[in-house]
Amino acid sequence: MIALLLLPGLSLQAQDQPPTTEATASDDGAGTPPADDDTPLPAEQDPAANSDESSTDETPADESASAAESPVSPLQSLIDSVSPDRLREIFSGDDPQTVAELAAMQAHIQKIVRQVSPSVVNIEVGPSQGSGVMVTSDGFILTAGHVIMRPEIDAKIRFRDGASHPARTLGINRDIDSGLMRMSQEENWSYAEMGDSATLKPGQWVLTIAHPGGFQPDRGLVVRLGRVQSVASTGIRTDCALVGGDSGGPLFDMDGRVVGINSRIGDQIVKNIHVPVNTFAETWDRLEKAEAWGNMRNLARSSWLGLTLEAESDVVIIAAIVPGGPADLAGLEVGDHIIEFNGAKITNRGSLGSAISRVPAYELVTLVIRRGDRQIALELETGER
Amino acid sequence: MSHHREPSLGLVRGVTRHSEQGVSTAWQRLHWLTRACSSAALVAALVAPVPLRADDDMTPATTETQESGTEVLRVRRTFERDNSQVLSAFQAVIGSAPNCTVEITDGQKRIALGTVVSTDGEVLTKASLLSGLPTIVLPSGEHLEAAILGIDVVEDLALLKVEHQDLQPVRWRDGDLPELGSWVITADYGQQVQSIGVISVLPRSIPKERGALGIRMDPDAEGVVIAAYSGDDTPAEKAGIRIGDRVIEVNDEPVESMVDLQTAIAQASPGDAVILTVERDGNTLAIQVILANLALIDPNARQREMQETLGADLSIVRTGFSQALQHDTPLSPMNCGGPLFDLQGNAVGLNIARAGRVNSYSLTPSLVQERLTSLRSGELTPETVFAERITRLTTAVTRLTSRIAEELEPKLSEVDSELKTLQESEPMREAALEEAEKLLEELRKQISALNDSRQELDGRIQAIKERQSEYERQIEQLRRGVLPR
Repeated sequence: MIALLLLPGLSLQAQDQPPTTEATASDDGAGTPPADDDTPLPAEQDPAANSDESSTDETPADESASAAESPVSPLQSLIDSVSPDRLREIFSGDDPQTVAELAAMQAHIQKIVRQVSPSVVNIEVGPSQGSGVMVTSDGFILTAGHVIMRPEIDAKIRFRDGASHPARTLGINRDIDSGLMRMSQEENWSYAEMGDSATLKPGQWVLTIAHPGGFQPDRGLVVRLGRVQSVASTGIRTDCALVGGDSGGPLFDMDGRVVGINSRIGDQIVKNIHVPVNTFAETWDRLEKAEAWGNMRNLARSSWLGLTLEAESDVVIIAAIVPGGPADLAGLEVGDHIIEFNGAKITNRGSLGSAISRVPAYELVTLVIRRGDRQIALELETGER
Repeated sequence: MSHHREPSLGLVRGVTRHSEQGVSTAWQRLHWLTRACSSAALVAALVAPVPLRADDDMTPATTETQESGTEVLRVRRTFERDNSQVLSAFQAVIGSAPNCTVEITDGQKRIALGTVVSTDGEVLTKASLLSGLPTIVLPSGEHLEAAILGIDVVEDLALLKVEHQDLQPVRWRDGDLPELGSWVITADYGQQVQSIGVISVLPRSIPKERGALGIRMDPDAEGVVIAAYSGDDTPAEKAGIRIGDRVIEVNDEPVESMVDLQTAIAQASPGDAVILTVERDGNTLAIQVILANLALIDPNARQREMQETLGADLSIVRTGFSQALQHDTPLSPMNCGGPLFDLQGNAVGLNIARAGRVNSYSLTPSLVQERLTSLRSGELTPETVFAERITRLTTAVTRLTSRIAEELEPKLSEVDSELKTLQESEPMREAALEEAEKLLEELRKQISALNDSRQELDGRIQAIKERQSEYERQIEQLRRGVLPR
């Protein structure tokens, strides 16, 4: 059963594994999960072996090898001067400080792009197109719910070289915009590992590779780099710019693992929302059984602060705060008395409610609160409900 | 609310430009706050740089107290990939590259960036951004008026020249192609980092986008007859094309069918001018129409455009390049024309367009150098390049002039003479009016008198009728042998 194979796959990329160490040091090992005796994988599930076999139109391993053999360029010595630990630190959320660090980032990003590109697909369902990513060698594809629309219908999968193969849509969770598909043919498909979206942190560097605007044979895949801006259980916001056609495409971390699925965009270039990949693992059985549930209308979520107010109070006092929610991240505390929200004076629950309802999700707003005898202004990024 | 903040990063970048190396994040953050907040007190309080925690995570906050007593609690960091900390890491790359990014103004404001290509004052830029007489702002700060030596309308390149002997030309990257995912850096004037991105797609040809007139033709009519506009404010409507006009020529080439017209328009792009010769009420008119893009007429294209412009302003001329690499830098349209650098300070391209939310295009070094040869040859001077268009416009002007002389001026004198006749009859009409008024008064009196007589007659008739029925009653009684009393 696939869920059994996948969930061990998830636990493989344990958060305490140094993710990028071997990436700079070896040729093609970046995405190879570290060996783990507790969760043996069948031989054909080995992504390293798999990617060697099935990347037909590019030869990532060879390219890297020849680059390594060529005389050391000034750029190469810069790259070598950055320790794997420092590189990992940057990718997990730090700002690069030097040209050497930029060069080391670049070498790693190029490598991840080569490594994961074969897993990215274009999806055609009826008249519309989206993107997707293969996550198992036996043909399961993660995509966005709004790309596949309905369970159990025929679809066409195109690889970046234009080769097209039949596939079938499976389940959809419309509440979160996740969708699953499977290739109709049994083949040893190129795939990328699923990561753990719960460990994502603001500032972490990520990549999206997909087909914005649909499949274009003379263009192929389009690479974008960005950073995680905020994380919620309903969506990851990044500054990897997306547009129609990117929907369903993967968001990769710098280990080449899928951590999100492109879903929707806002009115700013830094508002790109991805479905957290963990929802796929959590609902895998239902998705695999081609269940469809939820309602797309819930995606037009109102903004959410992640706090509860004191019920028995004339003024607006925070009674509880959801850990890791927007209020928590903004530094609000239980007992804070909210007096202003995004420029609007707050006098009671109603006025706070209507002020919140005027603000979209993932918006930066200013709050003024009273804490004891202090008056404090702070900024908060609204979440999604 | 979204209108509290700019819908793009333009402002944020604007701030980082001025705080390039040092103060950085606090300023940038401050800008976010000021835009997110409408409390004047708070805004005022924020205009002081705040020391920032350089370490990670969102935990302890920096606080600062403002005059009114409100503390400003800072917990958030800016995580954007192009925050000012990241940009300053790129400054070492850009600072060591040739100082070859210049600003181009229309004499007052920036209209483009430019790329210095020779020590003696040659600068390449994006042709369609030029307006009027361009001025080049050199790295030294000098403002020099530039001559336009050549225009390549296909690649949208222009070669400008200023009198100078000591400029640093761009250093093109040659040999291998950069890899996907490689950093690319766009500098501002003065070789300051402006924005960054990565290479998204290796160089390819970008086909030219079709232009649109915004008309529908009558399929049943003989010839090419305009049946409707295909949207609001379409280029055809704005230019003065009317429903019912019959198109007989496009750019002086005869068109006889809808297919002819479609073929002729398909060769032009958004922003191009075409001259339609139309027949209307027996007259022939030449009308210049500036084509728009398909979003104007096609709902699918419109939806695409809506998405593409979420958080992005796009270049007007953004398609039709022979070899361009695609990168994900959020360029603003007026910052096209300058070089795009790699991590070694070599130019991997010349920024030529912001084409969408996720794509900016840069012409490849080999294409730019090849086109530079033609631009220097004197074969692409503005007079040569625009000769055809000038001829077309001249023809149109001639047509309009002769139409004025042959049709409109005779009509004008007819109208004038009629007007004159009427003006001369003025006193006569006054007299007639007076007469008529008298007559009307007379008639009113007569009517009134007749009404009076009529009323009197009615009364008499009524009296007679009463008497008549009294007599009839008496006759009836006599017949029954009753003597009337």
